[in-house]
Amino acid sequence: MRTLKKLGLLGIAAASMSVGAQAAHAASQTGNASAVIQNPIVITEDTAMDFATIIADQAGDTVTLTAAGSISASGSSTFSGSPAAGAFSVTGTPSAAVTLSFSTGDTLTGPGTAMPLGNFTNDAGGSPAFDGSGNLAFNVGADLTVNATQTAGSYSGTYTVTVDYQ
Amino acid sequence: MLRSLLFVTLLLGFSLAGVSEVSAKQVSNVQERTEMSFGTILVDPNGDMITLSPSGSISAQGSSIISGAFTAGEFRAQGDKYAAVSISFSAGDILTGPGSTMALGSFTHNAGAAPAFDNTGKIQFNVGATLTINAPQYDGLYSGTYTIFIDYP
Repeated sequence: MRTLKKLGLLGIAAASMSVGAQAAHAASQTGNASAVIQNPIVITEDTAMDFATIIADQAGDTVTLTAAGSISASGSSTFSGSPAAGAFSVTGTPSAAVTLSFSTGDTLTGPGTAMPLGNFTNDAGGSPAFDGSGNLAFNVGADLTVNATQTAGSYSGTYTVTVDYQ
Repeated sequence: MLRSLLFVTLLLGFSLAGVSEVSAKQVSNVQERTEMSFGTILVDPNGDMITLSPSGSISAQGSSIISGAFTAGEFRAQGDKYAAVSISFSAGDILTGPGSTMALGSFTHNAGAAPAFDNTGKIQFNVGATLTINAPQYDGLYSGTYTIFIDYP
């Protein structure tokens, strides 16, 4: 019986040891994460297009403002003041190619007959694209149609420039 | 003979106690139930820091706009019922894609300040994190992994 008691104690000790050896098994797991990145196109008009003061040809005229800011008339209109091409800065996806397009049917309104604004041009080149930092800047010119006997005064209006990824 | 049987019973009892104790100290069956997703981020061109909370809400420090299906990560694990556990995360993780890698870090969970297995030995919680967007950050899908560690404190 004495032998059995010793064996019993041995058994208890072994069980305790197994508890100590197997304690606290931690676990880890890999988690997955994802995101879709899109660079929005944000357009800011830095300079409003301005045909300045037109001393109008009474027969009517077409006045052309280039993207570089020079102004000319197909008729005999003359100019004073400081004409300015429209200027825009755009941010988007770096290096991405874009297309530029303009609204149609725009007019400048004022004291007299509305004057059509159209034939928009720009100096972004044949293959406009954002630079490596996602910036693009360009100027915009247009044609303004002056009606015959256009009433004197200030005329204003809006147009829309659209920049989209190709 | 009677004493001998008594001893065997006694020994068996301790052995069972030992086995029971061993299984109680294991964290097992850790499962990722839902992958973390930051959705679609219309990024702030100046870079940004996006924070996804364990509850699934998302916000940007800058002017980024988040759309699409964003969701917190979700995990489940099993262990000793009522046992307190510690939850920790890897560091230095990134999401990779078409452009610069984006740092993923500052992980948070909603298992509370003193997380513990419930009365059935289970724990379930959500995981949020912050995502650092570079300037510029190219368009596209970015993905990566992180590691969650569940341990007895």
